[in-house]
Amino acid sequence: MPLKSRHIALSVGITSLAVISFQLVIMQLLSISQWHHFAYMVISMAMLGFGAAGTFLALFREWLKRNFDRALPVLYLLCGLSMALTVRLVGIFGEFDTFLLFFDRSQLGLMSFTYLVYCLPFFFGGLAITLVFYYEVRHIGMYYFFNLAGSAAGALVIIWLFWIVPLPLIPPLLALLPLLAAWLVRIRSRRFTVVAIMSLLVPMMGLLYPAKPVISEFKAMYGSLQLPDAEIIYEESGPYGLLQVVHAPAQRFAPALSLQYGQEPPVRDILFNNGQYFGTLLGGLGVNADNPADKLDAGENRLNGGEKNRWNAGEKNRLYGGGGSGVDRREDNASARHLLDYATRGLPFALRHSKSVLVLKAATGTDVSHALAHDPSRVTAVEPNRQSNRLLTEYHPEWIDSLYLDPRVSLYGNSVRTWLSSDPARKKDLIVLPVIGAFGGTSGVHALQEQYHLTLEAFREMYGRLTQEGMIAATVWSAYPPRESLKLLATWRVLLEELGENAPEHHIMAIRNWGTVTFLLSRSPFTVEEQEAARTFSRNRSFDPLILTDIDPEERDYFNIAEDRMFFDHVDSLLYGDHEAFFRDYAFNVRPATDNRPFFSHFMSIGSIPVLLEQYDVRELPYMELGFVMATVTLVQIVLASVILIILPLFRVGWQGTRRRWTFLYFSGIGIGFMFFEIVLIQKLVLYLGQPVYATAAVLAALLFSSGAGSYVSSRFRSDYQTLLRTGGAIVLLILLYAFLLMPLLDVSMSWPLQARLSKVVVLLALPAFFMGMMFPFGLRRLSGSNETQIPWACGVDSCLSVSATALATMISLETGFDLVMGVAAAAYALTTLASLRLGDVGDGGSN
Amino acid sequence: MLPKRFFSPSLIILFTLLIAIQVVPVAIAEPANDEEEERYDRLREQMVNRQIVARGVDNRPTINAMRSVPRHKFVRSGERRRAYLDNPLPIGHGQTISQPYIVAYMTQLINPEPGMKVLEIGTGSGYQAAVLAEITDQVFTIEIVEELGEWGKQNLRHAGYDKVQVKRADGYYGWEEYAPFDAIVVTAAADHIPPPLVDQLRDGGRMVIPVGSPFRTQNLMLVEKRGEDIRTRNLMPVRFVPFTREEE
Repeated sequence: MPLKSRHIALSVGITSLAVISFQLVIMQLLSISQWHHFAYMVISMAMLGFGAAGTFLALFREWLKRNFDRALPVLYLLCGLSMALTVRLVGIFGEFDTFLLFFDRSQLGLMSFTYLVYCLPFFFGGLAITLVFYYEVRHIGMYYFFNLAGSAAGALVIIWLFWIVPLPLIPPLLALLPLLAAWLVRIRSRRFTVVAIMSLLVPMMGLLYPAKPVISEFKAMYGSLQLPDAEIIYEESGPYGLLQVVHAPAQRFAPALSLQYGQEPPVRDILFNNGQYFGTLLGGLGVNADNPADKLDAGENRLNGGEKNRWNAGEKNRLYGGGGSGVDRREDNASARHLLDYATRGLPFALRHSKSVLVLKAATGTDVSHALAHDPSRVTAVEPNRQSNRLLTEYHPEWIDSLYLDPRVSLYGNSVRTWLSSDPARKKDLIVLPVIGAFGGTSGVHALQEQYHLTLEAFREMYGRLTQEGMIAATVWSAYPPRESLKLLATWRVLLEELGENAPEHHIMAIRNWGTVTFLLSRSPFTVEEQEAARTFSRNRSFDPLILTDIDPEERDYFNIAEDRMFFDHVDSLLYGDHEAFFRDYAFNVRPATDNRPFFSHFMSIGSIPVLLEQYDVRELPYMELGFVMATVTLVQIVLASVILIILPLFRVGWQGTRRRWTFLYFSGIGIGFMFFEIVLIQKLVLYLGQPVYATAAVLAALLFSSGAGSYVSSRFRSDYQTLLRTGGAIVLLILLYAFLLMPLLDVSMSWPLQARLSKVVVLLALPAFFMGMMFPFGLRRLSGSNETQIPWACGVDSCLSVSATALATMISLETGFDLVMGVAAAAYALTTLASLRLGDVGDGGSN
Repeated sequence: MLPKRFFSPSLIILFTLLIAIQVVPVAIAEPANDEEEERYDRLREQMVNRQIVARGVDNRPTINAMRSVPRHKFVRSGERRRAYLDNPLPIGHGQTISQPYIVAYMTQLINPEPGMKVLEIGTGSGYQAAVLAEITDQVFTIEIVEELGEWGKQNLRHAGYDKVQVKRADGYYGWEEYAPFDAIVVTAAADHIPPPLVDQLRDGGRMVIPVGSPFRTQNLMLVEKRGEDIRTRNLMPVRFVPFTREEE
């Protein structure tokens, strides 16, 4: 009995929903066990399963078409089974670890096996859906609609699942959906019924005994768990990640504390998100807990030990004009009210009394705690992770001594930029940024992460939010070669230049110790008294001033001596010299990050490699910027795999098919154009909507659903040259318009309520996505008339190029910014439009 | 009597594999024969000449120590043939045995001499302690991770460094009982310098701390104590070259 088309359509929709949800849950699981760049790498390769499906179909299309009724449910079954088993299968030969990839050759084998395992659900799901497209090409509009609408629903459903279902249970739960699809299109035979019921047992077992992700031994949380008597005391998964709190008696909070802090630092629990450090649950500890002045006095005694401290006393007096006077000490003691006053981060509080403090990306509130110790009238904390906010305000506020419930504190669960763009009249005396980098460096694992709170535009908005006496404070972990600190300084220098301040050294101050550098950017010039206060603060803690208007070069490394003093020269070049020349000449990219290229932690370039090779072993280089290296590796792997998958079917179906090159150009243009457009839109709209998790889901759903609607409506039109040219032309025009007008259009409504902004986004996305959704079914219908054998191959080309496009878009964004990506999207659709002139024939002869 | 099918070929293969899995690691762990030891000696000599002396380490006791310690006895059994390569090697628990040059450079930085009392924080594989033990009899090492501590202790004993004192404890507190120390080598650094370690450093003593990720030491921090004055010194483990291009 032939399968009913509505059952087939429903099975396509359900499987598409499961596949896209599975993709997002795997991303989450891999981000926990590894880093997000590895998740991106694996998922990109796994998505090639769709391309492989097209290739497979091209090679075995006759057999699969003949056995469509039997093949379809079996493919759905295999898709479901592989979904349920991947997480368990992937570790059977040992766990792959990105960190070991460049030191252990066996990791290459494990990496390939990981790709293969994760590829399977996408391959079987993709093969089932492509088979439907091929078999039912006359109704492609409807099936493509179900495919895209199912994917759109998947993007939304997974967010809901993240909130209500523990993460390890989601893959087996999703695996039930393809099994349901198989049941919808089942064969009426006892054997199939038995197999289907047996298959159900696999996800059921997964639900009973869920496989948990194994965390890399090079992640911060693994290190914490190695401490004696360490335990995870809280765990909660959600769309923002897996939050875990680790308690360990040897876990201390003392980030780059002064050597003059003679007390034992507090033992505190740490909150991790996806295995990465999120924040220490410091709470009110250190806020006038005991007599801080005593601590500082004790510290000062270690340094200014009277008779005991004879070494270089004369030199110190020369540099500091007599050492810490009694007045200096008294003034300084007044500011030493918190543990962090013994870190360079204490500087802004030692200079001015800030009544109104804004803490950006507040995490667990350590900077809020620090600010509260200095008698502010208002502390505003902005932390976009609503999951952690809920944990620390509703479930366990006591873990941070109810800091966020303090009447002086307001906590906002928005992105930094959303907060900054709302109500610009609210001015702040001090804006505190989260600490940049990590002790010992981050190995560049964040190179691919957009950091919109560190772009030139973000600092411009922050500067606009300062009172006349206001300051921005940013602390950076020292790294060698110096990068983060120079990029921050470069950003502030360019900003001040834009604002017409020609003497940046009057507005920027910095001090350093053995581990960190704290930079201050003040709206009004620093006074002589404030510069002296900074010296006193530094001296009492064995810190060194780095930027002061009247700095003596020797003061810069009095306590913390630098063998390579070039860092100081670089600072001076950026501050006083031709910064453009410095950007050009420095081996790393330290140009300010912008909203068009918001990768603050991306420094490496191909040009820097020869310089680095003079100093470092080639195997060490990846650890300079693992994210960038992995993105490059991903691109190379995907392009190679795509080429193989696209060429392979040609050996069977022949190289000389009718107008094959036009088929290739048409479908590759669609694959590249759609993905490039989608990636840029997600980036820009995430910034606009402010909530990365929800925004990505909403944008993806709106885009896919509108495309699906376009696909559905496409069946009412003839797929002739004129229709294709008009549709393609409209897409190119819209992309170009969006490239120039989207951000100005969005900027005017940045302060609207979220629902209003969301509605605006849906409206803006609907039109281009609608037209884009038409091009794929138009193309397939044209092929169905004259080159039907090319249909599976065309699907494969579209899938392979879509996946390659994600990797390529990342690289282009890193190197040149999003604008070019948008330009390439327009060019790709222009190519598709031109290729349509020579593509196949009008297959259906008109509307359905 | 067992049924005939019990001895099917697939079962025989399975049991053979199971036995092999048990036996192979033991066979690998067997002590290397003389020929192998000679090969390791040659590799070690090459390591010292090409990786250490050629890069400017010139402290004689350090070079001699690096020449003497059988590094291959301080790595995981599967990594032995790579023991003398110019890179760090993973030892599990998120830790590595440092690149030979870094071990030599750190050792040189503390100006090691016979009779010095040296404390190491982070025993790991025990290699750094063994190098120190070649120079002085008073080496104390602390490891916080129990399994690593046991393994490091075992490695030291197998390689004949019985005098090294190993303790499983929180390195934050140092080893008060044997303080003060002439030098402290912190191989497992945290984001702070523990005051007890500074206190347990003898006047004029040196503490060396590598800073970086497991596979890349970006710099070494030397903490010098003179009376009450404590200073830190940032040292480059590499020959540093300018990162800015030459002006044309």
